[in-house]
Amino acid sequence: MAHTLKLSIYCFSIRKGRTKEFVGFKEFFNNHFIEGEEKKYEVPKEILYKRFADSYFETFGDQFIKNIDETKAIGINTYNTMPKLNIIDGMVNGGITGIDQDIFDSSNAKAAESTIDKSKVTSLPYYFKIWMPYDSQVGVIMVQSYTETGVTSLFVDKFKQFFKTKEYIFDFERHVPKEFKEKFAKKSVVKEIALYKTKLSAKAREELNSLFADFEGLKVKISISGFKLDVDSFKEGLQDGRFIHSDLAAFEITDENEYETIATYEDVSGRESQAKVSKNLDIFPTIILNNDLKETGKEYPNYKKIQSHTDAILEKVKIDIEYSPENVDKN
Amino acid sequence: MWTKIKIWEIRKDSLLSLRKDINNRIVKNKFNVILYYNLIPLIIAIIFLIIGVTINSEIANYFITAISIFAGLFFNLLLVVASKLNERKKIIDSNSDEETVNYVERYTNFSEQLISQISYTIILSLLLIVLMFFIHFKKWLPHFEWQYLSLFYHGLKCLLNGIIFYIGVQFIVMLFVILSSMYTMLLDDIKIKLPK
Repeated sequence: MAHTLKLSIYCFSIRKGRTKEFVGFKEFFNNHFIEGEEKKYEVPKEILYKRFADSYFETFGDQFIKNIDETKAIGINTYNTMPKLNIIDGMVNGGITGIDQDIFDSSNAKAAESTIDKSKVTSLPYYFKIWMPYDSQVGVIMVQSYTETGVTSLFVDKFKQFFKTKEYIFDFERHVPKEFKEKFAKKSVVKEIALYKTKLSAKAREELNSLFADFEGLKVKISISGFKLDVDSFKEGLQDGRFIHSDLAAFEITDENEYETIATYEDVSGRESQAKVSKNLDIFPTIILNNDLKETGKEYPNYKKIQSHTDAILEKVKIDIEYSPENVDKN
Repeated sequence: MWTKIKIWEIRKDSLLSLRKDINNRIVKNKFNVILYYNLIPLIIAIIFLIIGVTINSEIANYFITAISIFAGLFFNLLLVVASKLNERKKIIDSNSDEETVNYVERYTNFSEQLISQISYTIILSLLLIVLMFFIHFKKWLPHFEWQYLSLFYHGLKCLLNGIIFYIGVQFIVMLFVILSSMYTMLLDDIKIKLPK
C-alpha cells in the first residue's frame, strides 16, 4: 500500500476592514507594493507579483511556523512566481511537532532506535499553488496533502494572517470543480444520512427527559445507515431538501432551515465524503491525485508533474467561477 | 443540401447567441428568447391585423428603401467588427498575460455572436424586401369578379401583412440587439490601449 496524494482547493477574496466590498488584486498590489516615487498602476505586474511573493514568504523567514496549538509547523522550501499566469507556487515542508516521537524499526516494536524531540518537526513536502488574477477579486489556493496527514489549514491560516496584517478580511470557501463532483456523484452511493439539531427549546428538552431541561446546549443527532442508494435515487427521495419524512417534531426537526442533514457518500474505491443535503445537493468530495504525480520511487509529489496537473485543475476552477471563457486556449 | 448556403446555420447561431454571455455560456432561458423574439412580434402582428393596419404599395416602397439602407450598412458593419477583432488579436503578440488572453477570447466570442446576429439581420432584411414586393401581388394576379377569389385574395393579403409585421418586429428586436452590442464595442474601443 502506498500513501495517497490529496488536493484541497479554496476560493478566496479580500475585503478592506469591515466593508462588504471585495478588493481586486490589482488594487491590492498597487496599494501595498508600490515603492518610493513609483506611481500607482504604472509599475509592471511582474514586479508587483514578485514583491508580493517575497513579502509573504519573508514572513516565514528560515524557520518553521507553528499553528496555535503548536502541534503542526510549516516552513518554505521553494517558491516561484509566474505573473503572466497570475500564479505563485512552490513547496512547503511541514508536519507534526510539539510531541516526542520514537523511531522504531518496523520489524521491532519493542525497542525504539531513537527519539525525535518535541521541538523538532517531522516534515514532508507539500505542494501549494496560489492564483491571484490581476483583473479579478476571486483567487484560488491549492494545497496538496496526504490521506494520512496534511498542513492545509495551517497554510491557509498563515496566508489569511498575511492579509490580516495589511488590515484585510480574508474570506474563503472550499471548492471542488464541477467535473469532479459530477464524476463522484456518478460513481458513488449514499450510505448514511444524519440529521443534526443544535438548539432545542426548554420545552422540548423537558419532554425528552426532565434531566435535560437545564442543558441549553443539548444536541440531537439522528443517524440512519444500513442502506446504499445511488445519487439519482437519493435525489428522488428528496422533497424540498428533506430526505427524512417521519414526524420528528419532538426533536423540533420540522422546518428544514432549522436543522442540518448531512449525507455520507462512498465511491467505488471506498473513499467517503460528506455533504450537506440541500435542494441542489452540493457534494464536496475529496480530490485524489494520481500516483504517477509522485517522485520516482518516493511517496511525495514531483514538483513539475504536480504543477502541470494542478494547472489543468485550476483551468476547471476558473471556468466554474466564471473567470475564463469556456473555449479559452492558454497555449 | 447545398452547403454553400448556410441560412439555417446563421439563424441557429444567431438565436443561440441571444442566450449566451461573452464567456460563450448559455445563461438565458430559452423562454426569454421565445418571449422577446417570437411572442412579442406575434402579439404585435396580431394587434396590427385586428386594428386593420395594412401596408399599401406606397408604404411598402418606403420600407423597402429604408430596409435596403440598413442591409447595406450591416454588410459594412460586418467588416468593421472583423477588423476590430483583428486589432485586438494583435495585443497578444506583445502581452500574453492571462487576463489579456481572456479578454481577447471574450472579445472573439462577442464578435462571433455579433457577426451571427448581423448576418441573420441581413437575411431578415432581404426576406422583408421580398415580402414587401409581394404587396403588389394583386396587380399581377388574374382579375375575376368571383366572390370566393376576392375573399381568397383578401385572406392572402392579411397573411402577407401579418408575416411582414411579425418579421418586421423581429427585425427591430435584432436591430436593438445589434445597437446594444455596438454600444458595448465602442465603449470598449475608448477604454482599450491598442499596440501601435
